[in-house]
Amino acid sequence: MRARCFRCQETFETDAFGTQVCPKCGAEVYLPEPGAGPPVPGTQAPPPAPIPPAGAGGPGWGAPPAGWSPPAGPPPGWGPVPPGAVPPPVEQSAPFAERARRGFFHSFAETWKLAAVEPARFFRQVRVSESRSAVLFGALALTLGNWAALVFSYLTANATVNLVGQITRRVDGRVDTLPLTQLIQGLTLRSFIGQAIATPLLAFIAVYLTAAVFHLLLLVVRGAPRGFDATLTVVGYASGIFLIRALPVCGGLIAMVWFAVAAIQGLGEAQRSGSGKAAFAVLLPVLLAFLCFCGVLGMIGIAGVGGLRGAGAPPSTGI
Amino acid sequence: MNPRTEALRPARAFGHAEVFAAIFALSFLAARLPPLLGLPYACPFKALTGVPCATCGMTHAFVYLAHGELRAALAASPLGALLAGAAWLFAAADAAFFALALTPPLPGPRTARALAIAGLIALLANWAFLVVANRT
Repeated sequence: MRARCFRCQETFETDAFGTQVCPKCGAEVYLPEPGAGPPVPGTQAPPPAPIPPAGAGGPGWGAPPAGWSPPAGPPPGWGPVPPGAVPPPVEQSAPFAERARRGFFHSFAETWKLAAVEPARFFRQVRVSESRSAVLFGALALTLGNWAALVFSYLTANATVNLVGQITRRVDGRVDTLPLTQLIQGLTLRSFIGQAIATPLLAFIAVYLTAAVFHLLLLVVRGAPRGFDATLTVVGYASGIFLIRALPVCGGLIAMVWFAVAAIQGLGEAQRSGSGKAAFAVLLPVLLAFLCFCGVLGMIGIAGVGGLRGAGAPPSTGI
Repeated sequence: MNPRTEALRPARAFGHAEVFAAIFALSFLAARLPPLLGLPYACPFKALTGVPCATCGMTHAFVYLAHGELRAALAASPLGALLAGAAWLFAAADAAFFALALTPPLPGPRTARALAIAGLIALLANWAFLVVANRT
């Protein structure tokens, strides 16, 4: 006989009743026996909807086909919902929350793709009560991205010290670059190892603190009706984007901007509060962080202009 | 279940409040034990503009307060000192609640919103204080 999965809407062949596993998405589908007792009053499901054509897709994590819309009423299946069973909710677990069944790397990659490329759809559908998986996902991605960035910084420390030395000579004391030089020179092998060891713990803390800051700002604008778990879920999964910090030089900046976009869309959808309130919560602290980042870029830029003009000192900036 | 295992099992789940309490407790250890103020780091915003950023002085405030220097902590960043004290009190209180298997009283949505607004105003006021204090 043919059965249809309530989650991915795909049909599959089976010759047994009871709980079956969908071969497409892995969801458990209950097929009651024809001779089973009458359904409990009030749980009578409407007749099953016509089976869609092969490849029509459904409300799973895959992209729905053009013109597809979710079926009205209780989720379709083979017959009524069994007595005592709760109909599956519209929300669904993120692939990473099902990593035990889907496989760790596959679920990680799938979740990363959804959170980074389709944040609005992903965070609208994702189950917010599984924030532990989100925190683990974010901490893992942050750790891997930081490790790669750390290795790059360590390998290029000498070149960066030389660059800062040139900047110091060109700005002729207008900007104090000593702290930056000391910071780079302090990146010894010992501190490199220390930072590498501390990174997983710091990543975990960063996810929690970032979520706390966003949530406080959402509370200010009444934008957190679904609680802290929803904010933490969004920050956790969106932090996966920081994996691209592994890209040398510009990875950090790209990741920051991308994260801000995903977090705004994600918070707006997950909290059901709209992207305006989410933008306020995300952009205020990001703006502060960006100002600090621009401070460093500005120092380098001013020195570069001075060097290009060959004047030995940059034009007056009022600094 | 083995009665011994049952006795060891926490009566209350380790939730978000406990995670924050652990982070705050770690912040006390970080402020108290390693020589944080000896690290060669300066705020890039202040280095470029000469004006302190909104969170300047927070590390100093945490470190001074962890060493019992309340006056120095308040001078470095009043909000930082307040934040450090509140965070460590929360950590201690939550540890006590957890050990006694009690549920800590959490603020309702209205109180939480009022606290968030107060925090935002305090941050701006603290920034104004830092800017003025930096000029004098």
